[in-house]
Amino acid sequence: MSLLEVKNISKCYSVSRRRLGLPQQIEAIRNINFKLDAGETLAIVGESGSGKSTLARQIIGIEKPTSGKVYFNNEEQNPRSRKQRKNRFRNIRMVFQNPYESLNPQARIGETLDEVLQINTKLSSKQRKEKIATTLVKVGMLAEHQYRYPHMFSGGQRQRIAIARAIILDPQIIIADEPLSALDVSIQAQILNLLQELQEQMGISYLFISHDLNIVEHIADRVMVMFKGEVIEYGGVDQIFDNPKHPYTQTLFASTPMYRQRFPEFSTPKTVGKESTKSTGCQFAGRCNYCSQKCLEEKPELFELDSGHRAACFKTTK
Amino acid sequence: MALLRVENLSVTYHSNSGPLPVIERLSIKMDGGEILGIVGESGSGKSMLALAIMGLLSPKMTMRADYVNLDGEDLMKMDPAERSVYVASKAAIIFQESQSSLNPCFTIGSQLDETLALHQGGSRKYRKTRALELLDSVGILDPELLLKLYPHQVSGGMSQRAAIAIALACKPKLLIADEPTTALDVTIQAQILELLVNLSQAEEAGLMLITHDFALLSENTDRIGVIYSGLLMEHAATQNILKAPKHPYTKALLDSIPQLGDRHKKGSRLFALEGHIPPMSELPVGCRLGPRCPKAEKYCVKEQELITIENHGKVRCHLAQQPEKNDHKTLSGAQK
Repeated sequence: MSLLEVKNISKCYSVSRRRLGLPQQIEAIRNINFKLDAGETLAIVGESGSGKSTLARQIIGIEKPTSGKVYFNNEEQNPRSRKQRKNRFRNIRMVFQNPYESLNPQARIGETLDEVLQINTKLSSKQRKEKIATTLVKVGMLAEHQYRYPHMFSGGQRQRIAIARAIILDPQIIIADEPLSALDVSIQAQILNLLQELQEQMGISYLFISHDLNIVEHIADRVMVMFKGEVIEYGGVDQIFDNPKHPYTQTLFASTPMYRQRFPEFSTPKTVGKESTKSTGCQFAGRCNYCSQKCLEEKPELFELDSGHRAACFKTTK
Repeated sequence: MALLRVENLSVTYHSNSGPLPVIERLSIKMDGGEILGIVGESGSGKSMLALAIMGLLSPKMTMRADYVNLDGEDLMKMDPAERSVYVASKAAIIFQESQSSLNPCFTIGSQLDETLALHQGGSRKYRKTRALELLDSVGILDPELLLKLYPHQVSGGMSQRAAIAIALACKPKLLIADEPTTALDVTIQAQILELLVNLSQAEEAGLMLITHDFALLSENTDRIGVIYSGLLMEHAATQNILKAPKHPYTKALLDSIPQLGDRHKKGSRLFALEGHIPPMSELPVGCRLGPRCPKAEKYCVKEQELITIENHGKVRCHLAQQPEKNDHKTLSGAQK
């Protein structure tokens, strides 16, 4: 029984760039499986272009996946069902990366929040006003801030407003797509604390997309590492942070100054690797220090190492 | 003989409603081959410091200084034309987003050639060899190809390498990198940083690394300057700053980074500095950090001076003089 389950989800985008000799279909994500339980935080780690945000869009239902299924509250989600989609929009909310772009500059904060309530609830205007005030207080702002415009706030405050917009419907899941990376370090700590507080108060599950490993270690229960649209390692935060198995995960740790001492044996990535563009073989092969002939020919499957810890690499299955 | 000496540098922004201080009385010194980290939040004036040294401030800003001594010559005594030629021959700057600092209308080759032609001259053939050499030195596998590409055709890491190659074209003695890796992925970030450090070591050039990420500085720098609201708050050797920061602001910045091994526990919270950096037009009276400082006292309504602490460095806080128990958790980078 899990709150959200994603089974074999894939998404292809069509691109017409035939002149450059590129394929017309680009597979942004391929065969992704995971479960998210209530009150849990699953962190998705990966570099830009690894499909983290594409995955988020399929789950929330902004886009229809090419194949695969999404189960929400144990109910299979039909992308065509309007009712189910509305239900999902209500219960899965998003917080975006850049609060300077995700808030409408022409609308007062109150109007931005009110719109959410008008569309999704049947509250009277008085009730809505009350709800807006209490939600703003919840995220550490003042009730009178609803009469102001976004430009009057700093980045940290805007991110708080974006979080208010996400929690105003009392959702079960929040997908936070790099919610901290546009903020200063001292503000990051404030927002991270706020997210944790809300989780403890309201029991929200987070799908936390980030590339910052120490923040992930701080907030996550489970971690999913993505590379080029595939999950290459998946496990509990202890399993991933104590014993990363996939060479790519190890590369990530070796590239982060703070972790280099914990894992002195991991090598930093090869200087400039040729990206593999072939569809056969391991996606990471071109940059991998342990690449063998088998890696170029066969694609490694996600392999269970111990309970819950899975990695897609031939090296670990031996 | 120091490579760069800046004494009492002030930068003022002349807004429509009067002058605003961007940087005030800032003094730093750098030697050749040294790596200096400048850390601060956005709006603290750290990028303006870089632009002021390079002479790239916007016309709405003016700078004053006792002297800005770059490789033996005082920049403040030069006229603008002379200064720009001199600075270009001695120093170079790398910006945060190379995709937007490179010109999208020209190939990388022509932009690299432009710099070479302007500052070093030589025949077209010589310049081409030099361009290939430069691209090779920044770790590009196929320099011939890159010369013909436009900035939008290459990845962020590649274009940042190209930007570094352009910066290196004049063999600068001082390299200023303003958030060189913020727009890049972690793995690429490590490569670019390693490249910058290696290049500065090989050429014995000074490297000024401007960032908001303490973790980046912990491994690579010799000294760190912490800037807040246009003032240098603490300036000391990297080890001192990381192991025993004296200024409450430095402490707060270090504490707000999650510690290694600090896993999700119910109720565990990071230390977070309240509020946000004040806008230039609304600076508080006395210590700039005052309203946000967890240790602020009555005394802090007075303006704080930089004081020299023995065996440490310079700190702009009267509390630094008092002996206190060190309750600060060290960033793991400092423990080696």
